[in-house]
Order: sequence, then C-alpha cells, then structure tokens
Amino acid sequence: MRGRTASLLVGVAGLVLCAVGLAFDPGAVLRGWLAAFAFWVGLPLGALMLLLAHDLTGGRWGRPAREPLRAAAATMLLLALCLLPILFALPLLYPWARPEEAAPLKNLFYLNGPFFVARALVFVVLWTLLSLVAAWRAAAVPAPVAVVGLILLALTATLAAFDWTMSLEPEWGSSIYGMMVISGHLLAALALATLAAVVAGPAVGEGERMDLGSLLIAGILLWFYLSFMQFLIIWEEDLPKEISWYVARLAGGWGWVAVLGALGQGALPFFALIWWPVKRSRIGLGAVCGLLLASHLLECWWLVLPGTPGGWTWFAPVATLGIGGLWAALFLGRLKAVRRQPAAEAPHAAGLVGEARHG
Amino acid sequence: MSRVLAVFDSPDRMLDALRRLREAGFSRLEVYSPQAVEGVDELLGRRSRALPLIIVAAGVAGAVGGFLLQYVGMAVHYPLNIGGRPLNSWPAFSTSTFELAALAMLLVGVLAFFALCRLPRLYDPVFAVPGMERASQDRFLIGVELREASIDRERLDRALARFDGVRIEEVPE
Repeated sequence: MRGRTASLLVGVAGLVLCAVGLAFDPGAVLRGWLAAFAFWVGLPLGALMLLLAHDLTGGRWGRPAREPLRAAAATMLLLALCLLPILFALPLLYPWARPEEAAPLKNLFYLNGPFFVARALVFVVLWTLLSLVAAWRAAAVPAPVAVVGLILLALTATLAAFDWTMSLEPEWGSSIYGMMVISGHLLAALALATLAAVVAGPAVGEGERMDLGSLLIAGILLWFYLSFMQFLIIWEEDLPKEISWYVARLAGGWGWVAVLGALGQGALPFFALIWWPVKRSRIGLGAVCGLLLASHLLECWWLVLPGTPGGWTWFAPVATLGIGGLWAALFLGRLKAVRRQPAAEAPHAAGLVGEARHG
Repeated sequence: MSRVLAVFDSPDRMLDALRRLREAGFSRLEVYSPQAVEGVDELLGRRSRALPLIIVAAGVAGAVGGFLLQYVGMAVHYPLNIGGRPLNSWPAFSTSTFELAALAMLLVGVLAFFALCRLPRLYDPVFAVPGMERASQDRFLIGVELREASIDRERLDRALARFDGVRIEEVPE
C-alpha cells in the first residue's frame, strides 16, 4: 500500500509540474509528454501482445509472467487517457499540423488532423477492448480472439508508431520503424514481467526464471537486429532525406545516448544473459531487467526528442515521472488484485497443453 | 576388469539407480540414453566447463578475424573511395563480422563437442550387448565398470535389488 501511495504522490507531483509548465512553455511540456507517453504505452501494449501469444502457445514461462503481464495490460485505459493532451495540441508537436510547414508535404492525405485523431481513437479503443478481454479476466482468451487480436495489434501498433513518433519528421519514412518500436514494447513488457517474477521471490522456480531469461535474449536480439538493420540500410544509402533522421540523433549528446542505448538494451544484457550464472541468479536477472527498462526509456526519449525543433527538455523526465507514478500505482494495485484472485483453471490448463505441445 | 550394463525402461528409474550406484561407491559409470536426461551430468560429475569457453574463444577469434579481413582489404591494401564513405566502413563490415564469428563458433563448437565426447569411436565392446541398439530408441542404460568382478558384482546386485525387472547384461571382453 505504501508503494502505491508513494507512486501516486510522485505521479500527481509530476502532473502538477507539467500543468504549471504549460503556462510557460507548452511546446516543451508536450514533447516531453510525448517522449514519456512513447515509453509508458509500450508496457501495456507489449504485455497485451505477450499475453495473447501465451494464450495461443502456452509455456512454462507464463506461470510467473501472466500475473504481472495482466496487471500491466490492464493499465491500457490510463494510457488511452494520457494520449488526449497530444490529440488536443497537434500543431505544437507535429510539423504537418502547422499549415505553413505542411504546404510542401505530399503525404497530407494521410497526415492531417481529423484522420490522425480518428486513427488514434480507433487504436486506443481497440487496445482497451482487447485489454478488457485479456487482462481483466483470469481465464485464457479463446484462440480465435487471440489470433485476430494479435493480427490487429501488429497492424495498429505499427500504424501508431508511424503516426505518433515517426511523423514528427513527416518527410522521413522507414518501413522497419513500426516493427522496431514494437520489438521495444515487447522487450520492455517482458523485462517488467521478469522483474516482477524476480521480486516475487523464491516462490518462482529456477526453471521458470531461466525460461524468462532465454526469452529476454530472444527479445534483445530481435530489437537489436531491427534497430541495427534500419541504421545499416540508411547509413549505406546515405540519402539526404533519410540520413537526416540519424544526423539529428547521432549529433552531440544524442550520439552518446545512442551508444548507451545500444549497450544497455543490446550488448550488455545479451552477454550477461548468455552467461548462465547471471541468468540463474535472482539478483543478476533483476539487474538485467532494470538495465533493459532504463535503456528502453532512454531509447524512447531518443526516438522522440531529437526529432523536435526544441530537442531535449527537462519536461521529459518530469512527464515520465508524472505518467509513471499514476501508472505504477495502477499497476501495483492490479497486481495485488490479480494475485489475490483464486488461481484460474483455464490459463494453467492452457499452459500445460502448451508444454505438452512443445515437449 | 569387466563391464556390465543395467537396462531400464524409464529415465526416472535410471536416474534413481544411478544415484544409488554413486552412493554405493561406483565411480566408473556411463549412461546411454535416447535423449538427454536432466541430472545425469551432475551425477556423473561430467559437467564440461571447457566447451562454453572454447566456443566463446572461437567467436571472439572469428569476429576479430572477420573484421580485420575486411579492414585490411578495404582500408589498407585496396583503399577505394566508394560514394564518399569512410574507408573503415564498420557498419557495413558488421554483418560479415557477425557471420564469420557465428561460423567459427559453429565449426569449432561441433569439433570441440565431438573431441570432448571422445568421438568418433568406431567400435566399443558394449555394441555387442544384445538390446544395446534400444539405447537410441526407448531404453535407458547404465554401464558400470567392475574392478574386482565378484565383490563388485555383489555390491551392484545389492544396490539395484530394489529395482525389480531391471536387466543386467555382461559386456563381452
């Protein structure tokens, strides 16, 4: 309970600071808010994808991971509300929403205010409905719903990444971008679930923890592969309208952020996890998860802030704490409620079937 | 010195018997099974620490060698200006560097695995034991080396007495 009160206080303090900032520099507050939103929305979104994937495939890793994943996915409604300030202030964030800058753009049939808002509403309503089905009930989602849900999630999350962060630079486009962002969501949600499993203590068996560690390796490889491929292709082509995205993100301090992100979300956790003493120890695995989440936060800031005219702003950490405080309070509350529920038969049975299938 | 094989029809019974044999003091043991059984390596005291290190070393050697191969070619011996890119185009080198590291790990890893398993070995007297071929199908076998045949055989029978239905075969010299 104390943890939830503390997070709630931090969240309210962050929100108050953001509200005060709106009076002085609304542009800075909003780009900080978007950078924070890009991080936090990934947790329920990634958790939702992992939950549906587990409903379909089963596996021992779900036993400790399902509860934190369900608690994380249940926070989708909060993130849907956090999107509203962005929708009300499009011209402050996006060049295509400012008439004088939008004039030379050729993709205005897609990037325009009403269509953008309509798409965003479709995305968050769909995700919230899926989270109601998958996260608020203890039973496993029926396979047809999980299949359709995963396909819709892949499509909408890709378009959401294109809309919300890629369109900050409307002249720039990369088809790998959506998958790259989704792989970051998945990795962050998996790291969160593993961290919760580690914190839960010796109740979680070593085998389950090792499975989660192995899945984290797969997540790290996927994220690193997609991120590096986008960089490699654009770097090799070296076209002015494509490389500009990386020029902004590798100049000055942002270059060091990129190096930190590649190390903290790629090389370091990878080499730590393939060394089995780290994967086996609770402290080692927990530290890797903490590093992954922190690096993912840096990555989200790095994706958003250098693409805006103002660049870095202290409202990014403030908004991260603001949304994050509320998010953590909701997450911890749901986690407690989920853990108090009598062990549901269905997901467990699904897990056993899945194991037999993989056996 | 003679050898016998104890034949089991389930991995759990085999593991149990193996534990009992260790407790009874038998140390020259070998297990033949159609699949890896968790816990056998620990009981046989044969957890290889060398193999992961060999593979990591091969990976490092492959990566360094793969990178130098491209660096020496592109930046030292045949420097060519390609589209204004730097001679040391490390992002472009990285995929081949990775591939060569993976190749080195795979080749060295397989060879080292065979060497550590003492393979290839074309003949072993246990092959002549009737039913040995089922070690690759559905039977779990423990090979025991008896140093003083009559005494050890007695101890062996005592250690395995509780496993009814276990078949014990002599390995021909």
